[in-house]
Amino acid sequence: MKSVIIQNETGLHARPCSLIASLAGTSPMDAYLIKDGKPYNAKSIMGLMSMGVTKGTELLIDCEDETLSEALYKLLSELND
Amino acid sequence: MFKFFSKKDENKIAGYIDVMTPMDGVVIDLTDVPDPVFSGKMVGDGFAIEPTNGVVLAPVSGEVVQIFPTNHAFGIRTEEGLEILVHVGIDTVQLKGEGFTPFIQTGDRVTQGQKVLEVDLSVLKNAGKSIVTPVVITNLTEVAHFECSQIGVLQTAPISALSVTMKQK
Repeated sequence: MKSVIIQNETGLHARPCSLIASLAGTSPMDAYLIKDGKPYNAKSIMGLMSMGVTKGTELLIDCEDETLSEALYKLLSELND
Repeated sequence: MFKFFSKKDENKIAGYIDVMTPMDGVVIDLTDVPDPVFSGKMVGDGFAIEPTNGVVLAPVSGEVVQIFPTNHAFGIRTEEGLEILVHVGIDTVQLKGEGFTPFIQTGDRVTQGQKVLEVDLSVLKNAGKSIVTPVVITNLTEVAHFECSQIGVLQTAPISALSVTMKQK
C-alpha cells in the first residue's frame, strides 16, 4: 500500500474531502484511506472528514484499482489549499 | 409542496427526516453560495443560510460524526443514516478556530435544535470571509428524495427547511 503524508496546511477539510470522494467514486471498486491502522471509506465525505486529518498525518491508500490508487496518491500529495 | 411517489417507485420510504435550519437568517439556494465546492454541489446538496447571528443549532438529532479540529464545521449522522454537514462560513478553516466556540465533541449524541456551536461573525467579517453557511446532505446515494422549502425566507431557527426520505436498505 502506498503511504502519503499530508502536507496541506489545513489538513483534510471539506474541499479536499469532496475531491477525494469524487475521485474514489469514479471507480466501482472499494477504496480506503487508513489512518492509525483504521480504514475509512474514501467514497464517503463524512467518513473522510471523521478522520480528522491535519498537516503531517500519514495515510495509507488501500485500493485494488491501480489507476485509482495512483490518482489518489497524486491528489493527496498535491493538496495545497 | 411535496412530490408524490408513484406505485412504480422502487425506492421505498425507509426513514423520513425533517432537517431544520441551524442558524437565524435568510435561507438561500446552495447554488448561490460563493464557493464552487458548495455551489457546484461537490460536497452534497441542501441549502445555505446567510446568518444574522452566530448561534448554531443541531439541524438533526444524531451522532456527531466529526467536529473539525478548527471548530468551523461539523457532521451529524441520524439514526436513519442521513449525514448532514454544517459548514459555518466559507474558507473558515483558515481561521484555525479563531471566533469559534464549540459546545459538542466528536462522538456526542445531539438533539435537533440543541446549541452546538457559537461563532463570532465579526471575526469572519474582519478576516474577509463569507459568513454564508451551507447545510448539506453528504450521502445522497442513500437518499430517495429531498425537498427544500424555505428558500428566500428570513427566519428564526430552528424551522424545518429540508424534508428527506431515505432509501430502504
